[in-house]
Amino acid sequence: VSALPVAAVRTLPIVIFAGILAITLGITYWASRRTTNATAFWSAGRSITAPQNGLAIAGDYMSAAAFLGVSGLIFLYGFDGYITGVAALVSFVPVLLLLAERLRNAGKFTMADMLAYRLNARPARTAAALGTICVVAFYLVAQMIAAGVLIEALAGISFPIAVILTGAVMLIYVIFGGMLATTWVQIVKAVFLLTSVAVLAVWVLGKVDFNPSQLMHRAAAASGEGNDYLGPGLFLTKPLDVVSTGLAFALGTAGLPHILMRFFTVPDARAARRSAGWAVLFIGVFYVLVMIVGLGSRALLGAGGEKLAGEGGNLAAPYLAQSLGGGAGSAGGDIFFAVISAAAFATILAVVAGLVIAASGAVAHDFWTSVVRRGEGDEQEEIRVARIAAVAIGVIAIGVALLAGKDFNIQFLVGLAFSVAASANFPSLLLAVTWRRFNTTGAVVGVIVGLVTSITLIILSPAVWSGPDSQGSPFPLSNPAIVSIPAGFIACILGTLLSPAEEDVFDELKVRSETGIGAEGGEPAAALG
Amino acid sequence: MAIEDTDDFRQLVAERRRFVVPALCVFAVWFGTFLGLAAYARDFMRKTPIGDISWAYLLALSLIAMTWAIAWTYLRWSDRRLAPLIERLEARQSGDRQ
Repeated sequence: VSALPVAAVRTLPIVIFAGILAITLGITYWASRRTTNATAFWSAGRSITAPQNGLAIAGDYMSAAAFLGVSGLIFLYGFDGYITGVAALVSFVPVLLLLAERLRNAGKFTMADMLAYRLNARPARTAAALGTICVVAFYLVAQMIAAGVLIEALAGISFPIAVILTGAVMLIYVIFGGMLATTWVQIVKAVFLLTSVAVLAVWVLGKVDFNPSQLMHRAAAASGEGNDYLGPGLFLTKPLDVVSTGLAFALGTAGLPHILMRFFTVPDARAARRSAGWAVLFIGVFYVLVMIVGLGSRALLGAGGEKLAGEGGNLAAPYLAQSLGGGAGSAGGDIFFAVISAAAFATILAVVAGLVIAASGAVAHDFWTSVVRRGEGDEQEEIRVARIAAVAIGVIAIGVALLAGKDFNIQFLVGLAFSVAASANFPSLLLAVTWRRFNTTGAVVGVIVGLVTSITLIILSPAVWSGPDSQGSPFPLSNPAIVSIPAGFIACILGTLLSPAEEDVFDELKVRSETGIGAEGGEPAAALG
Repeated sequence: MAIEDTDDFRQLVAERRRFVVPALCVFAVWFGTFLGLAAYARDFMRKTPIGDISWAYLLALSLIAMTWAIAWTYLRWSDRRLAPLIERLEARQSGDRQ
């Protein structure tokens, strides 16, 4: 086994990757026989229980960026790496208190359903579909690039082949198994990932006599920064960047279509709020473990660590596992390295599948069935369009990931996905359930302004703006949320107030979203076998 | 009488608001304080009040605990205070239909 994270095909990770593929394709085969109508395809027949859905939501959250990215950033820069993780967790407070039950009660398959319930359906759905597709596009391309980079480094399969393989498997899950396969792949992966990270974290703690203070002490000493390593400021050097990034992650979840879509897979609103509760429990545990892994990799990997961890520190966790298992070349080290690598691989596959099904929902359910066909098509047609859309989205994502290449900065793509979600989707969803006067013009203008502001500011930001003068990007912050979220809200409010009031169906939405009377029912469990 | 005009429905909306608004305030103040300190009080965040554990990590962990506490309290509150009201409204609705 090569000591460097390049080339050299590794047998053991590939064997475990193949095992994961076999299990998940088996799940897909099982799910494909039950995916016969639209409710099955989009919402897993509403057959998922609250703890299962909690695991699936947590699984969507525990992406490669959250596991390898956050632990790697903690390894490199200390506390700044942890801020996005904490912000992403607390974001479930608004999701639970404001959206989870209301979405389940008032919607059917996608977040646009709730807007369409009280607004003029065709423009509202078009706007929401646009917001969904943009968020998914950034998130998906980021995950595909991460997949290629990681599989290349961990298993020695070249970047283009790794990207194409990831894309192909993700499409098989979605096309044949729909939401049922996507959810169960996500659940299996969430259990596998949480278990692996827990073993890694407990092992780290064993090395420091289960004394967190000693872990911090050794990490700070090994970093060469002393106590500065234990506080913020080494990565997000501008204070406003801390605020902006924190806001994007804390409010972005409430606009992430692939997370919101999961609330439709449970039988009723009570299960929806309980699944958010389970998700918070699992994600909280996960981030405590990631903190230990990040600090542990700094404390234990020593001087050679930075070279192994690679740019961005993404490989700190797998190499920590190798070191704990007995080091490079030892059987224990190789096995533990392969297991952690496989957990990261499973994570990427499950997350990209969830993204693709959310985007195909926007295309087929929102745009095709409701806008193009004006509700005239049948369910089978909607599923057919969804499968075609999934293939198109998958092929485009593979193409863009290959064109962008592995040197593309993936971290800012994820940040962009969160800020677009927080700026374009969150304001109209929130105002739709809380503000009686809110109207279609407000929603459409809000989505467009949120979208355009966040994307424009990202292009003008230091991460993207290329020029001879690296210190002079037109927009100084790396995340636009602090400007684009208020812009989205102001556009929603102004658009509403400057246009005529619409027929008031707020009471109907309120009754249904608060009580669930008239909500889409769950199918009896027996129908799903 | 439409559902939205019934006492049960008004009580449901008021009860939910009585929990959600203060909980969101706790969330906003706690997280806002954390973010403000992380951005503008870096020297404070580096200080280590317990052994070598810094304020930064203590506050981050306290946010995880806050999220758990709000979620758990809300789930219990919903089952105890909101569910009975919703059941009564559902019963009323199915009674109307017959």
